Amino acid sequence: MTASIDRPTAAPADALTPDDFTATVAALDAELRKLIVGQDELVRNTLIALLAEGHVLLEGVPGLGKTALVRAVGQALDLHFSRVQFTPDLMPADILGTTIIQESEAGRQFSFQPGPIFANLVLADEVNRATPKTQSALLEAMQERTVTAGTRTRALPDPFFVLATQNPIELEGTYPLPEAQLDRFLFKLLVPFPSAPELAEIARRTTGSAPPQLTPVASGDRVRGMVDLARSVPIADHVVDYAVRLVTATHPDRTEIAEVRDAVRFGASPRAVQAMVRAGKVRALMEQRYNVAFDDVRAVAKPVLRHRVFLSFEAEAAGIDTDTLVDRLLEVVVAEPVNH
Amino acid sequence: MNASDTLHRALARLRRRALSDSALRWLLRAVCVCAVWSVGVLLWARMHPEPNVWVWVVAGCGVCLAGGVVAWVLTRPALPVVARVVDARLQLDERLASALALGEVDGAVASRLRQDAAAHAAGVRGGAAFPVVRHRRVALLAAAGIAAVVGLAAAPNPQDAVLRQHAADRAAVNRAADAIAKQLAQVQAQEKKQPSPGLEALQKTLEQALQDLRGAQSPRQSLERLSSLSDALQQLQDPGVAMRSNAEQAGGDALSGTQGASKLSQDMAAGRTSDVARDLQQLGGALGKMTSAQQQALASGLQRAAAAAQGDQGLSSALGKAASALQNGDVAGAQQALQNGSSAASDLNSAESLQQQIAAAQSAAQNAAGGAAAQADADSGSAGGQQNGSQSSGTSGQSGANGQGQGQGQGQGQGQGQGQGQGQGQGQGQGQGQGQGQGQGQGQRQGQGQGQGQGQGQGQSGGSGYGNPAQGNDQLYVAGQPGTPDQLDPTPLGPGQNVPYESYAQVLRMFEQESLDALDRGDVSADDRSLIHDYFSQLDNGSGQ
Repeated sequence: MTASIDRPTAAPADALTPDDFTATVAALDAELRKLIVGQDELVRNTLIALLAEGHVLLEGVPGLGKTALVRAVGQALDLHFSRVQFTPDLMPADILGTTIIQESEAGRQFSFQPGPIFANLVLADEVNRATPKTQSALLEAMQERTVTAGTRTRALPDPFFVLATQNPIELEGTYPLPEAQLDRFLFKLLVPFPSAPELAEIARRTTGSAPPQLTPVASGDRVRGMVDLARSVPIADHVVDYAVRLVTATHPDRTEIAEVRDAVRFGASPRAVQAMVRAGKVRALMEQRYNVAFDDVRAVAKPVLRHRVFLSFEAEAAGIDTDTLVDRLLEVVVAEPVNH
Repeated sequence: MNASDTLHRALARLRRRALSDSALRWLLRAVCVCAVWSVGVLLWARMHPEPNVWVWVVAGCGVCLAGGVVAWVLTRPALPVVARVVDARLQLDERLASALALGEVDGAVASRLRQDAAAHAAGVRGGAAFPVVRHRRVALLAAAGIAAVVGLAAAPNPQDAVLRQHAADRAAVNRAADAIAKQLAQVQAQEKKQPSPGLEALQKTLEQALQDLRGAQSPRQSLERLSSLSDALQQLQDPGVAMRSNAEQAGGDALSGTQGASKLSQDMAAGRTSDVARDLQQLGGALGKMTSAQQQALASGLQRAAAAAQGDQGLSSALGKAASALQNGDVAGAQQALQNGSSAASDLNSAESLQQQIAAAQSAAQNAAGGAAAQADADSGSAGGQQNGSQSSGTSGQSGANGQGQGQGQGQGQGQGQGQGQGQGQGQGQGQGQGQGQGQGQGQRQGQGQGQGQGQGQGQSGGSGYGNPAQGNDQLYVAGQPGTPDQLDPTPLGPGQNVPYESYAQVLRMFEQESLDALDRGDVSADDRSLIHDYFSQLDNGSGQ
């Protein structure tokens, strides 16, 4: 029995309170609802990822509102937003920026022209249409939150979020994201098709004379404070242990679950545990709780694991998807073994 | 009181409840194990005779309960465990465990967590977190186990009869051994007072017999060893002692009326041998004071006594020599002869004492054998009752053959002899003979007895009517007087072999002779002897008719 805990450091006196956190989240959610119809879980998970300082990969067929969602988030937050439309001829410098020659009184000199990645919120639309070379330009930015051009490394704005979209059905002329790139996304969220009432509401809202206008409800500092507050949420060791056991169970050579052994080629990386804990903390606060529960870990397990578990060819041919496997994991791995 | 104190107080209360819950859980488990153990032991005891079954049950249950206590002590839930269990059972979303592990860390979230956890913990009832009903299944198992134990304990155990038989067997063996031990103690005391080779031999015989009896495992074994003891005692007996005693008494009768020897004659006639020795010495001392006429009268009396006491050569010779010496006026020679007579009387006294000890030992052995035989018969009866009748009918032909052989000449008399004579004196011949005859493994011990009793008329059917089959090598021992070696038939009868014929008159004569011999050896009053003599005289007259 463990009695230790991930102890948070003391927050400054003028820091946000949990009530401020929940109030801001509620305001942000209400603002997004002006534009986004339905998609409750998608919106909620997107906010969780943002407040956990994570990047999100949105996957869905065209027209489901992926880009609209990201744009709405950008409008609801008083953050510097930029959008990059990924195409096969997009070059890394088109994203990161480039060094140009500028005329000045002192004469010609080289100066760095920042690319669109230098923003708080970056929309990488149809990210799988760019070449691997260009996709790789995001690796350092997403993980280190820096950009290296030439011999100089520049820090990206804080906070920094990448929200990428990809289309799962148009495979012609696309380049699947490499595993290393996928692992840098905190969540992979699936954008479901709206229900009939939601479709009708979408039509009503977006075809009128006055499209909904969003008002920023939180500044960058506020978001930064919310991120810091979420990090201070304690998580008991036995909850961390549950996350570890879940991730471990995704590895075919370390699990006792037959389905995983048969269907999985590679299990989730250690980033998956980090992602579960960070996302769990945010979710706990959003639930007006002040500790991470097993339910938090369970709730974020699918978006955390679905792009980190790589299926074998046979499993894919048999129609098995990672969500099914994660459901099986949640069913088999016992959260609280001491409840005898 | 701050939130942290409230939280710890609530958790302490929940922990006390958790401890009692844990104790109950281990108690029920221990009871289940106890029940399983007890049922196992009781079932075992129903298949095998186990006298200490409840000792095993109690010891096993004690170990189980002690193990339950140890397990409870080792697995007592710590406070973090209690917090986690309460979280899980009451869906508190790990509030209590997280707040407990958080400790006194400062911060907005930490403070809110403590308050939140304290509020939740304060509202938790111990019975809700650790409900007794959770143990319902184990409690039902324990109750079922206890019911099974009670049922098994209350149900009749077929092995109880076997255990009672074993206890009775052991008691019978011990009683036999105690009887011989008591007799040995008497012999040892006598041997200390008056050592003699005969007593020493008797003591050794009894010691060996006692050792053998202590090692006997069954009444049958003790009976065998008592039989051996009887044989050994029989060999120690000296039939000549009785003859010498009779001769002394006859000499006393012959000497009666002789002046100066009245006390001697009375003591001799009464068989008081120790007094006789002293009387002879006193008579020798008094010879010098007698007149010649008195001496001649005494010589005449002594002469008659010597003639009557021919059965005791030493005494007769001494009395004869004394008479001759007195007739010749040789007082000194007469005194010397009377001194020799005194020695002979003393010798006879010692021999009689030894024979009395031997007789007492024989009596004790017979009594012990009677008890052991009764128990052995009871064992045989119970064992026979457990066997099926097919064995009985299968050997009925052999039994019938025996029945015919015995029944032709003996009729009812033979039948009664087997039934009663075993313990009453006919046993010398009948007792031994029966024992060996039935021990052949004819298959029907009882069948032989009945076949003889019912005689010809019953024929084959008489033999088959007895349903106590015996094992092939079983022997039946019956209490009775041990026979003399020439009366014993050491050769067992074979299957279908007839029991040897022996006439009733012969048997009666042997019985009479043995009884009279025993009468002479025993310390029986003259009136009783006369009564017994008359009884046999009447029997002789009856048989003669």
